[in-house]
Amino acid sequence: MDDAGRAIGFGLVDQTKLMTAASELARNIVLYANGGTMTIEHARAAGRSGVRLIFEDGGPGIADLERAMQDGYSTGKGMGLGLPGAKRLAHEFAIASTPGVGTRVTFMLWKR
Amino acid sequence: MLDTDAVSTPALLRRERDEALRTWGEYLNRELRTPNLDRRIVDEFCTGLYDGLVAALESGSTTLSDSLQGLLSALSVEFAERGFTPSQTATFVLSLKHVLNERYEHAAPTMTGLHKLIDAMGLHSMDAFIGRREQIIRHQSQELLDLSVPVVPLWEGILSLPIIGTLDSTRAQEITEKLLFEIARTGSRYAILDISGVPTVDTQTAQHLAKTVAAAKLMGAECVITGIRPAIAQVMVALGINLSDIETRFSLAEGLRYCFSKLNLTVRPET
Repeated sequence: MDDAGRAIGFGLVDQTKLMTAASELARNIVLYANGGTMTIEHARAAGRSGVRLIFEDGGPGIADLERAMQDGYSTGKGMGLGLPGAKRLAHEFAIASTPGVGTRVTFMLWKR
Repeated sequence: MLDTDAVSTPALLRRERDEALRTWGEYLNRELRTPNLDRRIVDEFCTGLYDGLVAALESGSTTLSDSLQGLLSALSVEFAERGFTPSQTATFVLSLKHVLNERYEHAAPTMTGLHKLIDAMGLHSMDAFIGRREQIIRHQSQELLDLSVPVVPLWEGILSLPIIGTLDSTRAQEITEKLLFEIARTGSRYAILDISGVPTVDTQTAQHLAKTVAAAKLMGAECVITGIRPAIAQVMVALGINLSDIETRFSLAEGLRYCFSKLNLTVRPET
């Protein structure tokens, strides 16, 4: 994670954002979905360069996505800031979830 | 050619003891490449193992006696502590087989019991070696955990906790316990939690910190969090983490100054 950000040439703040978001989203997978995968990609588009993180799990899924994206809502013991917080750290953020099938979160940070 | 048919294996080994031990010692010296291992120690282990093996053969036992197991454990512990590899340890024991094989090449059938015993010795030494290694590792990780939770009294009534590295749940628990213990022991009213050595602060880290601060408050001590780096401050705000009811300062020195002012202490140059 550290190396990926450095290879792209992220500044300290973006580097910290990337690390923090990865930590939040990875923890969600471990806590709620009993594990999953994270894919890290070097994204290029329209002369820009960035890092894309994709978190996929085969967990129980999120029943109410809208509420899960609200500050302070958590089905566990957390602060309920992980998902909405990670979204605020991202330039692009997507989440798709099917109850009983799993969840897929895409986190994208472009180099400024 | 040695005449091995006429005498039993144990009796033969007893007769050839000194010669076999000399060959074994030379073999180990040549093959083991452990220059920092005292020759006397090697000889002592060789003698002990050889005699133990002969005694086991004589008694017709197929399992290792307690004393032989003890000796093997001692050898493995010695090797593990000196930083030798598992294969060096196994070589030490199993090489007796090579040495005896070379000497009694044509008497192989009568050696079956012997081989089984030496194999058992090798296995036991491996178990003991790994056991000791695991013990060392456990000990070191405990030491590391203790080291990673230093609570330093800065001043009468002021404690400081320089937190370095990732603040996961286990460490947060250790830190809280240690801090509360020290607050009670020293009667401190203030504690400075310096997080300049924490790489990232995410929602869980913040939650851990808030809980530590709340627990200290219940014991009558106020916590000041210092060392929040600019990048981390920005990320914490973006995440929506609110630590506004906790006193924070940029540096440890500023945190100390805050505690001094609360204790009505002033620092001024000597006139």
